[in-house]
Amino acid sequence: MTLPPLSARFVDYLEIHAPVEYIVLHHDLLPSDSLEAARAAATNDPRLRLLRDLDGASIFRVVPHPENRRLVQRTYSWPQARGGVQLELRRTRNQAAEVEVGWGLSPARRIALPRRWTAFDIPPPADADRAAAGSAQLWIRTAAPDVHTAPLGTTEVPLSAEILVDAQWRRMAIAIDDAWVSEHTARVGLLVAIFGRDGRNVTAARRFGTTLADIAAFEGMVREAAEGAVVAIAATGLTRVDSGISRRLAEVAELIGVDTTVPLALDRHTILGVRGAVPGTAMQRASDERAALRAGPPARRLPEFQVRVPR
Amino acid sequence: MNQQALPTFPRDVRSWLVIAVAALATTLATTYPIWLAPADLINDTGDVRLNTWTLSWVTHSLTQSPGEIWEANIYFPHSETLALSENLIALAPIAAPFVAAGEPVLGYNVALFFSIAAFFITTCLFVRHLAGSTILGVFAATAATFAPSRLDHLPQLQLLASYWIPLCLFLVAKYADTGRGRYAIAAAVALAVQFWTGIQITIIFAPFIAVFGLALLLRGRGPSAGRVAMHTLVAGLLCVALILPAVRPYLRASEAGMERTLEEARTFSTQPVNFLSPSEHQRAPHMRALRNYRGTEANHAAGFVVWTVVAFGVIARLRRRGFARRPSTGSALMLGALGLYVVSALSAMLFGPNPVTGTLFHLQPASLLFVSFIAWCLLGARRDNDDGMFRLCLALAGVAFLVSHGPDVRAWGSELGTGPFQYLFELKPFRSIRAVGRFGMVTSFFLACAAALAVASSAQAPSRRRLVGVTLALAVAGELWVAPITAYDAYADDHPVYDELALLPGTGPIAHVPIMAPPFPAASTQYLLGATRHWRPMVNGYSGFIPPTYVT
Repeated sequence: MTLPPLSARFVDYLEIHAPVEYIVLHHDLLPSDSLEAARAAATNDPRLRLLRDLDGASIFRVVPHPENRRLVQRTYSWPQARGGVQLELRRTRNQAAEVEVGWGLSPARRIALPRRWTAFDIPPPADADRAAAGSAQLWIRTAAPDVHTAPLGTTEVPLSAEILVDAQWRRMAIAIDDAWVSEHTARVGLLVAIFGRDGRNVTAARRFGTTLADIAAFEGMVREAAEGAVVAIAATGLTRVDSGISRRLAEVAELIGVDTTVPLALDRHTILGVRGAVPGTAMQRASDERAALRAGPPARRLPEFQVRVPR
Repeated sequence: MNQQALPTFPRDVRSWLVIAVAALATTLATTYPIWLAPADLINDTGDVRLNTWTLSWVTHSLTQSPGEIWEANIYFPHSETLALSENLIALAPIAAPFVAAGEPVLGYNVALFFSIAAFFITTCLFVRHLAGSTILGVFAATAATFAPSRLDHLPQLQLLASYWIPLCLFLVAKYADTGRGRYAIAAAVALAVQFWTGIQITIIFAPFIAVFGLALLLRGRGPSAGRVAMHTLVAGLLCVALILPAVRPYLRASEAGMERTLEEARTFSTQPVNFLSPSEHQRAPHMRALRNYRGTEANHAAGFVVWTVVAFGVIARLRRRGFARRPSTGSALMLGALGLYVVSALSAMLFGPNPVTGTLFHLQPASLLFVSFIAWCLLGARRDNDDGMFRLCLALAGVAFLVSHGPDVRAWGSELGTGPFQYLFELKPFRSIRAVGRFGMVTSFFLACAAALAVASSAQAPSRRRLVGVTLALAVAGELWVAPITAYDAYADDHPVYDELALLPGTGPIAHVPIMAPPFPAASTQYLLGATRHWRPMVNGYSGFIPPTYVT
């Protein structure tokens, strides 16, 4: 892609896809109007600090916003059967790096990445973790400086990781940075995940059927969520429900800023809303085929380390 | 193989002196005026600076952290970025002393001079073995070195540094003659080192080396089939083991989608007219008059000297064997297919699509020609004399000519049929080749060899050979002369900012803006040359393959 040099979008893009320490602006290689625009953009961008102004080139240091210095969690995961797993990891670039490894929503184990392929035994998840996560899935995250936040729709609630809510035929899924938080394989049902205020940490994730008891539990879960929490809902096949269920679903809609019924009278419906937000601020997508919703900065899919599972 | 006993070094110092002087003269003639200021002048601002950076990175990495050699400092944050281009690892030791002394351009130019001279010497060695004459070796090496298909690639060091290929062919020929396993092992090592020097040129030449060796072994003069199988197995395993560390990163890049397409192969393929097209750099007026230039991959005119000598060799053989009365099977096959090819082309050109061309297209004359050439190669090579070797070289040149046409053989605006490259493309290594026209380098090489062999069989007396060889070598050099070549100051757009970057705290990555320097992508190579002074990871890059998410 081509972006105006040193524009806010240019720096955003670099921060997300290739976080750099310095930017060198070559004056002779830019048309004069582009150079002036780049200089003006650099002056107004608090992330760029002029270090050297040489004849023909300027060096800027890229300084992240203070509030962006949290850990970015880039996650790689795959379903695992029972039991532990042996992972082999190594660094692929000459950078200090640590990874966090854990099962489902359980606490992470930190591993300093070696230069060579090194095997690590990851013990099986505890039963409690297995229950909390809904399924036993191993995840690995790199620990690196945070580079970006993005608001969720018009709510101005910051998201520093990419959330995906997906509803398709017989399958609902919610993921953060490409790691499945949870998934629900059913012809009809609901999958719900509630995130912390930063839109990254998952505080609860559950699947629901279509019985009155399930819908009541669903309403209770959303009602109990903290004000400002991000709520992700994926629904499928809920087109015919009785009045009691409809009432509860309408109340859920009011709780998270959705100004339509949850779910819509379509087969797939996905919602990303904020608990307590004003009506109309939630992001929604509905379709007869597939409804997928993404929000937040895009997940980095390029690994800065390599991982393989020995056969 | 010529049966005359050849004097060997150091007994025949005079021959080796001739070869060395000729190699030096050829190197100087093809690189003038670069050698007047080798620390500053380069002959291209794109690929030359990429190759300068590659040699410098390999040197830097081998001395600092050899385990991370593939993690080159371009295209941050992508991994194994050295595998996006040729790695030149086997060439790096030649440039290393100069690179370490802070003169990367000098290191590159020394590697360039060495590559040209070494190719000349190994070609000379190979043809000397075939033709039994040092001076004919010099003639063939001059024709091969000055060939437009090589000199058009002066900026592509990875193609010029193909000196292990003639050496490998020489060792294969020695093995076929003697049956000694050490030659098979040495040939495998030479091929493996060539792979570490330039992967693409190795892939291009490897099938021809295999066919060459097979044809020689089928003469039945060398070792028994059992010994050949054992030696081939051992040599093959050794070669695979030696190249395997270099293959893996390229395979991973290939799996990430960095492969060429058939459409690219079509774009960068040749047509018959390209083999009449000289280089744009050539000075001789009659060659310039021939000029039909359509790109840097498309000039393969071997020149009137080589064409005349080869034509003389073919006519002499047809007359000697009374071809009109008793054609050999191989000749008949080849000429039949060639005739079909020509009829098909003429029919398509004159009458457009019609039942005749339809039938001929259905028969795929290009494929028939390919098969016939292979048959001609094997049948002709059974003759254990200059004639067999001449035919073998000519057949290999012909097959390479056909392969260079790409997936579809086209001539005079008409498509004649499926080309052999269509089938080669099914093999993974050939999917890394975009410029299929580079198979024309094989044609030039074997045509030069065939020309020397044509002279060898007609001029038997040593004094006559010397006279003819010297005359032809001088004639071919004069006809294909290119000096002075265009030279640029490598540091014309240099800037102290690169030194400044080396002094900044931290080891974090940098981005040069504009990311892709105007007016064309190759201009970004100035960032690569500057990177040899700071070695910080950078977002920018320039290479054979570009990562799909590269920011521009």
